[in-house]
Amino acid sequence: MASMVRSAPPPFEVLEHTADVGLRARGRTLGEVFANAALGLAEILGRRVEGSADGSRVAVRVSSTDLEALLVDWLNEVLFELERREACLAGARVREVRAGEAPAVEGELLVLECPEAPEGTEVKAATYHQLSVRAEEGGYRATVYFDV
Amino acid sequence: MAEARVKTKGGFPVERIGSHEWRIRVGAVPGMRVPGVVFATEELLEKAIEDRAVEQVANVATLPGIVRASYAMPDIHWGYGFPIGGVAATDIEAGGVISPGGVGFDISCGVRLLRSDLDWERDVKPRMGELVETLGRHVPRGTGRGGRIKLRGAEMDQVLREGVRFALARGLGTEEDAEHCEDHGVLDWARPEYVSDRARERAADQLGSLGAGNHFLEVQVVEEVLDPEAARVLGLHVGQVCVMLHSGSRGLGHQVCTDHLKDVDATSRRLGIEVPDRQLACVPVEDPVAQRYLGAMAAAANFARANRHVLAHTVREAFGMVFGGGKPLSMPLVYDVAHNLAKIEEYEVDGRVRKLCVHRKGATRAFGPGHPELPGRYRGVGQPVLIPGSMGSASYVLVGTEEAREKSFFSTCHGAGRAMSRTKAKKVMSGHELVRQLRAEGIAVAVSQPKLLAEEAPYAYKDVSLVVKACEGAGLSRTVARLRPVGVVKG
Repeated sequence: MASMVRSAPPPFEVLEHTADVGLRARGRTLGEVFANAALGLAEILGRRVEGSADGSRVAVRVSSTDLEALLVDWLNEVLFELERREACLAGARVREVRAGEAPAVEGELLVLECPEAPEGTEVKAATYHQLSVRAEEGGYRATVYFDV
Repeated sequence: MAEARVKTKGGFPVERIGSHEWRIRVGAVPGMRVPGVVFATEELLEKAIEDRAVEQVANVATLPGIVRASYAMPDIHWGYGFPIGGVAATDIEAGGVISPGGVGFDISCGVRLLRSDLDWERDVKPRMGELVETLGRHVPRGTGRGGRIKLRGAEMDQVLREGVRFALARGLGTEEDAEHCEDHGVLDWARPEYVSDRARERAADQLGSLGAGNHFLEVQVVEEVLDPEAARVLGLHVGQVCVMLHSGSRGLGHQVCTDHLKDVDATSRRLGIEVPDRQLACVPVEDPVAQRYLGAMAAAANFARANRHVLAHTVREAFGMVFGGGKPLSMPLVYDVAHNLAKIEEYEVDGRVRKLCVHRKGATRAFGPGHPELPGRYRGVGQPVLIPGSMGSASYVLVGTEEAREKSFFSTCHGAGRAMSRTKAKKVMSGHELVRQLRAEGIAVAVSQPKLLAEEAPYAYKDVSLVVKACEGAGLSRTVARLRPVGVVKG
């Protein structure tokens, strides 16, 4: 996993919301944006572990109607994988984000047993509220809100 | 009366049309089909304007088939798509839609109140530490934590189809529990076949678990009775110890919404339905995609009722360990009602009775006196409505009014309503400090994730007393009793 995004801190920020929580992720490529969004979600969940190369690799493949929905589906998939394994996320790599007709993403999560019980916010799902994935100078920026 | 017009951040005015009623005119947001109506005092409206909640009321008014108005209850705050505290009814025959975002991810999240014969001063106060510790040990809680019952094979289908009847058949709870639950504890139009394997997997071990976030169990004392006759009918009196439970459909409901929202979003786009926020994605109720969602939503609602029912049994057992010599204590159910749900209900609109799809997102159904769906015992006073305050502050028991039929499709508030983001709330005080503060106020606390507790601190919410008073002022519900917390159990 040579290009695994693991550097700290990754380019994402948690956005304020009265009841819920938002996330803005950035990257030079769409793949980086999706990977950083996965790390941001893990941060919100209290399930992010930095600086570990251990763990098992979980393949994630998702297809959607458009790029924005693809981000939501990708994040819901990451959420499901971390929850079902009661795992933490050490890294995320996105091999390909196919935009345009029949958008799809193929990626890999590096997951491991959480070193301590996670004390993050419980996230129910990623939503379409104020959802956007757009190009900006030097790369891409995505915004997504979660129901918590 | 103060200012008659208040400007929102979106730049459109909100006009006062009654002492507790404000209107957003059609046209404030392109595509509005009906006005927006916010029930609130000026103070509560100002709070709603601080975030984007009022714009969201206007956005909901664009839904195809919406009738009368897009309503917001006094605890309105910014949600995702719908505002929290939003009520919208669509006319099914006129192509009215269902929007899964108008129900939310925690399908049939709701509140249940148990009453006891225990007196606070005489019975419980001297043993409060032991009681909360026992509850904390026995009530499954926290993110993703397993519940009391692991569902195997066909059992999940049974829960999804039978709701509280599943638990009753296994000797948990009483017939009165079913009678005092909304819809007698089961929506018989549930379609478990539309609940995915993934949704089932997420909840296979979660039946009878509290969850995390704003879900809680509180030991409360009836502090004041404001309507003695209604309180007598509900079995409530000053000094009495009660237990309030707030939980929902756990991972199952979250996944049902996620799965079906994706289909609804795709279909909505195919049908060319335009909405100002994608989370408002919707399809006509009569479309097969909508019917599949509704069937799955009802199944998730059955899971939620069964979940609170099993939790209540665990509470009775824990009380029994402390006060009943090990035998579960008889703690009758006052009522159980959801605040995230869509129901098919009939109302007269423009002189004709119509079948409507009523969305209540962070709003509670509140049938008035005489409604045929109420249990016989409550028919004279109206449906009990359970309003949890923020942790450490008062909670309320209300009853529905006949007036609310016309005003809000028999709907009222669901809680205090958030006023501060989670990040800000955590900056004010740490979870550990909050635990100390609550204990100093005489509230026993059992919490599995203390760091997160500050997200739910009382100062992060509006004053629930003002919200309840505004509901009464607007004619949406009447206040019966105020309860104060003496013990908090959280994930």
